[in-house]
Amino acid sequence: MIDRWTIHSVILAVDEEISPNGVKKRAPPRPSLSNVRLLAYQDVGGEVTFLDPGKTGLGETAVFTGIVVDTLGRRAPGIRVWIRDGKDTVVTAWDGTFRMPFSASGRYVVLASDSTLAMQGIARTVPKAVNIVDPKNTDVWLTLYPRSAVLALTCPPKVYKPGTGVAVAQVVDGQGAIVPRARVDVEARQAVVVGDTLYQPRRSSGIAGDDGRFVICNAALDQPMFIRATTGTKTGVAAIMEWKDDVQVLTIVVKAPQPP
Amino acid sequence: MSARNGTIGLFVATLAATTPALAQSVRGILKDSATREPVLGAVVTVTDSAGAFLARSVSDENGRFNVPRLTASRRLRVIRIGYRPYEGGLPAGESDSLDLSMAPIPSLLSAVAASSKRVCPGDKTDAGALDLWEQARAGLLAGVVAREAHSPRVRLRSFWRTFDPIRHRPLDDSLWIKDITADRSYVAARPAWAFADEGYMRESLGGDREYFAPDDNVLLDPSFVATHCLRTVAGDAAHPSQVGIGFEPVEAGRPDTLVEVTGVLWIDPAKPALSSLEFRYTNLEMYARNSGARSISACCRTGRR
Repeated sequence: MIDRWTIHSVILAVDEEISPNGVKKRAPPRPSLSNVRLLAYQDVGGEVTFLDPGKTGLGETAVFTGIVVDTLGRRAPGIRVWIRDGKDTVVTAWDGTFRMPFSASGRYVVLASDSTLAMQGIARTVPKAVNIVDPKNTDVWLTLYPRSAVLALTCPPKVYKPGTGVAVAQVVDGQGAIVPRARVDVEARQAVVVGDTLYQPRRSSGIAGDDGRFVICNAALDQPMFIRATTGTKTGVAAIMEWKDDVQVLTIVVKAPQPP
Repeated sequence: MSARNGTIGLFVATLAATTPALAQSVRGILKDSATREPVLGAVVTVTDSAGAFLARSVSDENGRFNVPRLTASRRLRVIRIGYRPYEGGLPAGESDSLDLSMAPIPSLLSAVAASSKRVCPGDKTDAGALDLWEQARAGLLAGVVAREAHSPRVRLRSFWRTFDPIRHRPLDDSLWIKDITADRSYVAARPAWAFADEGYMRESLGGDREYFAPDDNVLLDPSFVATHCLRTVAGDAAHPSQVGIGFEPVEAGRPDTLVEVTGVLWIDPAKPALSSLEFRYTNLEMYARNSGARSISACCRTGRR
């Protein structure tokens, strides 16, 4: 019996060649095609393991087990793993392994990230789709990318610079409900030392998304930052006095102004 | 299919109990004619007097076989990789266990050394590669028959991954897991004749492509030998002390757009058993020239436990 197999192939884009008078030419044989672009390599394959008929696993609690490694293949401990749209998260052990219970057959997307980014649902792994047909134990292998690679994707294209701070924030009201499309004003204080210490403000503003979330990119790690969110008459403020990490997660609560 | 499996399964179950139901079967023990060791994994086929197939099974680790005896059963044929095929008449009426000796083929390696010429369909000159192919077919067939008799319970993990072309970073990664009672691990998505006629890659009008790989049933099919030239290949650094059967498609009389497979089926002559199948697709674009497949077969597993 064949135990393992892999089919390597390519995904190509072939540009159609049409002559000036609009006649589509017959394509030359594939090996001599020149109007081809390589989009991706793909691997399709599988392997079988022989199961002991005495241990079918029925009635056992099914779990995902897996391992998280970094891009150099080193095991990554203390990494938070979760299933997309699921409530539970688990943290990897010292050797990068994790176990996560799940209930039913179906298609799951497994993600992993450090705890700070995981709070905002920002994964540092390629989303891995796992199809569980029988609820049995399943091994999942996840590769954790460096933060800088992920933050570059979180910020608008070509904005993120390594070594700068990123604040990921969400605007909620007093009851904890999401406040969409709040106006956000950001002010960073830059110390300018000319005899006396003066603070020169750097300002920026924007609109939060429909899910109440926004991201502030390219913050200087040595500068405090003040953030104000406004929606209608309600306002809320937050401040980052000291950057302890190059990623900060904030929740801004907006409230109606107190009557004087 | 399932009915036939049930019948064979019943006879295997009664083998240990030695009940009168055994009178309904052809049973025996296969031994190596030189070492007197039992021969496992041999395919035993029972035919009628005209050679038409009636029933088949595969010998177990003690060399025992047990094939249902039908009223028309007249002849017995045994094939096993590494041995000369045995063929003979069945003793009339019910008899005791048959004791059969299988003659080992001295060396598959010497056959390779003797001939490295290509054998194409229709050639009659050099039979070395064809002999080896017959050996490989016997090994493949043993796997197919063993699965018919005792389908093992297997866990199948299949994956689909895409990588960006420059840095080979994963773009998408999907995994399917399924526990099945397998008749086989891996099924070619088309029958053998469809590959012979239409090739191993199908391209839709929109340009979407499906790549196929042959499974053991495809390699066993006469249409594979009819559309490929065969040659023997000596073991290399990646396949030490193995012998290979190289195959490449015949071009004459076939469309120039046909995507075919060219590669090697590797055999471990010490066991002897099939070890792997490696091939490349032909007739693709320059970027796709390394497209192909590799499949590995663990030695000696005939599906029995």
